[in-house]
Amino acid sequence: MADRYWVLGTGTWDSTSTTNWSTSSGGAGGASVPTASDNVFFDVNSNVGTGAFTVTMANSPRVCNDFTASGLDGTMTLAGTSIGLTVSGSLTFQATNFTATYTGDTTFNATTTGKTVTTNGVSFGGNAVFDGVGGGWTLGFALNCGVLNLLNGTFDTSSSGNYAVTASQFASNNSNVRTINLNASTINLSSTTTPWSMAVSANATVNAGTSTINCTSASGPVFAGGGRTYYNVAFTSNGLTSAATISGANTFTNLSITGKSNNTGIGQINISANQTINGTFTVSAGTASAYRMQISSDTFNTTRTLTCAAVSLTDVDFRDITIAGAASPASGTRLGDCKGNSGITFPAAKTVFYRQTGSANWGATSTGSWSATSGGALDATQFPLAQDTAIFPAATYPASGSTTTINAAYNIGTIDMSLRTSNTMTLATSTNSPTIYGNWINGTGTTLSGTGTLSFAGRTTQQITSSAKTFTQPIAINTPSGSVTLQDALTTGAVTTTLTQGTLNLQSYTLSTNIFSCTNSNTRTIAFGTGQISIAGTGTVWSTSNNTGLTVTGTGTISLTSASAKTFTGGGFSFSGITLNQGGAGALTITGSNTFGNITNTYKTTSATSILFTAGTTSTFTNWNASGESTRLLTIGSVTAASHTLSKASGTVSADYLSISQSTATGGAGWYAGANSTNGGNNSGWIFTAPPAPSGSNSNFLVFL
Amino acid sequence: MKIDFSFSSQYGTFSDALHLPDDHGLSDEQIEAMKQQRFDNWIAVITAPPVEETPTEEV
Repeated sequence: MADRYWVLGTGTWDSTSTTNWSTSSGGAGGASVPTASDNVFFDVNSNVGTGAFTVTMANSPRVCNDFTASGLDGTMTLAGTSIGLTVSGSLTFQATNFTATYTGDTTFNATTTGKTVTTNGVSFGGNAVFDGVGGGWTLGFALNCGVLNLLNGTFDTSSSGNYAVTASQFASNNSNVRTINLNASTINLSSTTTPWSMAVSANATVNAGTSTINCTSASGPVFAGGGRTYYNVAFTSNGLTSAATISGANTFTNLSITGKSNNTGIGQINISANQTINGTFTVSAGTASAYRMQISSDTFNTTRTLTCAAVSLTDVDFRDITIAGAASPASGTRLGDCKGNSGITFPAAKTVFYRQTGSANWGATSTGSWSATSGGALDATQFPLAQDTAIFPAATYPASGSTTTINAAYNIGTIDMSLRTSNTMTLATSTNSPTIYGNWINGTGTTLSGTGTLSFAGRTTQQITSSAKTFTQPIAINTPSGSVTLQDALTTGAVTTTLTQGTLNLQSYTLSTNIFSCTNSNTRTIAFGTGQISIAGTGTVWSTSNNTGLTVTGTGTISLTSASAKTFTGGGFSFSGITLNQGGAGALTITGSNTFGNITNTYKTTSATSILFTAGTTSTFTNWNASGESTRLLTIGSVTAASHTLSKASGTVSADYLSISQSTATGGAGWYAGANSTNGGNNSGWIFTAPPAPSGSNSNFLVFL
Repeated sequence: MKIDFSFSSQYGTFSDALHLPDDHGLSDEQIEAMKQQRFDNWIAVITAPPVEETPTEEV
């Protein structure tokens, strides 16, 4: 081990240059470049006179044992682009006359304890990495860096100094043996991804002391605690814009979430494992009741338990959360029930009335937009919660022609606009995606606008009354054990309707949409009744490619009406009571070996069209009523130059005006294509005549005579 | 009161309902006109120029 002193001011610290290294303070240059076992000193004699100087690190990471910058009488800048500094001993920066601008990692790789890191308020330009098996580092001053990454060894904030750490991220996401001693320090972490990163926490010891870990980002911070015990952990942004997450089954003394006071709307914290809070779980109030937080399981319909000794909750919506422990049942101020909760006492469902006189937001500051009585005073406490009913009075509130904007992804109970008839209103959602837990009732004077998805997730019986008003928003039904029942025809714009969980009950009505998507493995039912799903889009407009958990009931119709090509992706499902209808000029392609109650072609009254099957599939029908008409033949074929199979178990297919190719008709029924159909070749089982007169006709009767 | 009604067309069947106050005071002709208007509006929506859209895949 040797000592190396920097001399002669500005110079380059690389792997070969000896110009600026001396064996003594202020001595002659020319000493060897310091190795990992050498101590380096930057002191009063490192510069020329009292001039400022820059030490630019280059080549591979510069190494030393102890790094000491002390006694400088001119400003020293430790520079280097994407070059790091590896310190095998301790590090001391000088509080004044010293700046670190290098952008690489500062790595501490000692393998013995007793090392110190004393930055004296000088920030690292890059990350601080602690990586030495058996090493131990104690802060001698607050540490400010990019990522603080503990890979091996013991990181200690000092039991006497309780120094703060300010970093983008505290990471120790590995299985190495390491210890984190946080003492009574405050750790401020600003990362927008994972400010605390210990998802892999094997062989880690966290001694939280009475520390406080603050996750400060407004944009989706993740506290990946790794199932360890912490003291105070706080999400401190007052304007959370995207969901934060707590992962790992952690234990906290206190867990707190700051309410929103900017970025109007609702901030969300997702919980991905059960948590224990031995002190107080706090969600503090925001600026107004419309500034809300939502605590949810990270997995829809999967409960997470928060075992709390005490709670302090204001303007919080809960979804799939159980609160257990001494605080259960938990209560608070304006708690919204987004279903799947237990151990929480929610306020009784109330009915509130819109009270703004002109165009305004659903969630407003100050006195808000709602009143406890129709035409009553604005009341900031009457913001409608997920269990409430929000009514728009017949007139004045708002004035005819006004727009009410759902200005955030709020959790909303019932929206009742049925009184809006001659006094019109627009309910706009812009790009927001609210979730609806009650009924949606349009009035005949309602106009809807917006592009964010309307999700129906009430997990009970919900109804949609459209009143002939087109929903411009995509509609998603995700209501485990619940149902959404149409009260009249529902028409969307050129958007997708998605059934994720629960029952979509058409009763006898027509659902018209651009695309219908129902491909997942959740329990869900399309209850057609005698209703119809009419799909106007092109491309793959029906998707049940994954139909695990899907039930289809009723005797309704799926009609694909586009004038352009469209595909029905059944996924090999039994639509046994359902009629599939070709309702447009565009060729209808059916993929998968599906079963249908019937197949029809209502477009024959207008023009010729096609129904194409995927080669190699077998489509089974109870009835076949797809025909063309004179000069408007219906083409039956395969998508590719190979055959498909059509199967009907019994009876007679009596079609006509078909142009058939690549088609094998089988199953036991008589497949009569009709006298006016054409055989395009490569067919089997089709009989290109009209069916014989049914037995029991007059001729047979005469024979018996 | 709710009045269910249906229209058949080349695009399939359109089934809808009118939700009216019990004392709506509308004549039969007015009600029939309302039904026809809803059907006409439906035809207009489903025959609007096609829009390409990728189906949403749920988790």
